[in-house]
Amino acid sequence: MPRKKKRAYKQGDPFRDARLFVIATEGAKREKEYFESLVDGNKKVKIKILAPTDEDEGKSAPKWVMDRAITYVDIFGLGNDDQLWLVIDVDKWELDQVHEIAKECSSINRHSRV
Amino acid sequence: MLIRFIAKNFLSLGEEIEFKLFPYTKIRNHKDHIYKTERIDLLKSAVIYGANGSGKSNFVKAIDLLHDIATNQDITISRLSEICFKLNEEVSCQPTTLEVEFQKSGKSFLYGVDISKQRIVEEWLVLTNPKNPKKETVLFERKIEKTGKIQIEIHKKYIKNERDKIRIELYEEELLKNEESLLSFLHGKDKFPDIEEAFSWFKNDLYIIYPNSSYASLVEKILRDEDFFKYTSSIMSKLDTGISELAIKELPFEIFFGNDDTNIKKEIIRGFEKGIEKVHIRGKKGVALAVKNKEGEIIIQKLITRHTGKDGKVHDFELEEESDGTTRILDLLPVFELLIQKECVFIIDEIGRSIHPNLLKEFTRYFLEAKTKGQLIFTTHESYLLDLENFRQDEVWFVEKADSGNTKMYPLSEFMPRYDFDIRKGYLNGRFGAIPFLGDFSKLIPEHAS
Repeated sequence: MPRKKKRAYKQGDPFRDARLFVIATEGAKREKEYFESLVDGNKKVKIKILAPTDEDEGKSAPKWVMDRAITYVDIFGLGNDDQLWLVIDVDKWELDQVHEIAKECSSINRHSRV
Repeated sequence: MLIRFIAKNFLSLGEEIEFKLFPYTKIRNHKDHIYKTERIDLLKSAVIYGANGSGKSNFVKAIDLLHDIATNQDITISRLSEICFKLNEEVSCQPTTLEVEFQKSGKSFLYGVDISKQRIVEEWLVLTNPKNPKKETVLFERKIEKTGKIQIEIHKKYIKNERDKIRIELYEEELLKNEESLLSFLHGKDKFPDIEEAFSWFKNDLYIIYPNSSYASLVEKILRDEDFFKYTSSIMSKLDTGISELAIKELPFEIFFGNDDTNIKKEIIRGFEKGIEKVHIRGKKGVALAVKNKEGEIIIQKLITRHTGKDGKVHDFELEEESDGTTRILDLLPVFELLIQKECVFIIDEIGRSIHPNLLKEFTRYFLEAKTKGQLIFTTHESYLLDLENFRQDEVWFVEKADSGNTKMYPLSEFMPRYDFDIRKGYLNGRFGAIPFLGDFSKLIPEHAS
């Protein structure tokens, strides 16, 4: 590589994205694979998928998804620019359960969306 | 002082990486971590984070190789083979590039090499001008002609007459070896003061320390240099090691070794018979120096530590009774002394090896708060140090291995929104990419798995 003629003598302005997108899912496999394939190779999006682990297998009810999300936030915290998503199957669960989760989300953060 | 380092096609550093020590002007914390020089402002430290296998050590090895090429130290044809990035043929068939820009005695230099097929195919030394980058002076350039012959161009200020011209032709044709740097070759020839200065930076100002490096002459330095002895004792007592002071204990040769290590004993005796004046000893029996006393007998001067008990009484401890971390800190203390005394650069791979995180944090803080002249660059995976109370955002670098197997390096200051809260948490949850663990969140912190 011939030496570069142009060399900067300062640190440039920030351009990398430090935002975090956290997705808590019901299932451990298919949802995880789906979201991971969506962001494949996109280093700008830091995505964290909170799928149930082996021990948690079967804990797919909306309240368990919510629990995983809360545990994550408790440990790592999220900034104002970060986003946290809960992925819940509305065909599988009673709508009341989903509404309850949505209500809980709103009580925690006024920017929550369904 | 290090300005920047560039590497390409060296082990996992396949694509070009650029590590630079410029302060980002919009960062307001720790302004005392900036060295303001006439030409350029430079950072006093950098901490390089990355998971195991991310390529942190390859970064250190790359600088180390350039150091050794520049000074022609342990450079063999075999050392220049097998250095390229293997996971992409398009990259691996290109030359390996290593380049460094640094400041020495108020001048800034750019030195680099291209290596291909176990030989230096290009080499350059340039006097750069940070205030006006276009105004640079090429001190020498080395290339290879299609015939394989080395071609050297040296700045005209060094070519004063026909004899100088002939001398350069001779270097090209017969003297300079393929794996030998022109920089080291021209060193000591008294005709090239700027080139000598650049050589001297590599030789005397750039130090690279690996996890298993130890400071061979620790006991000798403590014995001969009273200031260093006081300095070492005072730091060890300030740090939370329990040590109140260091001391040297004199032991007869036979008592020190006892019935063990007969071969080492014989070797030392043979060494003294051949006229060697001292032997540095380091091993399971501690850190010591073998010398001859006035009577001509070999004696051992051994480093010990002293702890003060609750009753105020002082107790001697053997160094072997101290933790590995304490010994590692003792080995690093000469580094800090030099960083305080002169404009040098220390690059330490895995600084935290064997050192408890609390002690390491205290130790680095000691350096960061001290009035220093040199730069300290170190790699670690100890996230406990990640704290903006210790470092500026531009001093924190991340190393990550991409899916392609390439190592990437970037500073925290390149992230937006400006991240100035808990960077340790941010690091651990992968916000900056260079995550220390792979796999599920649950595996990261098992106690929260359920």
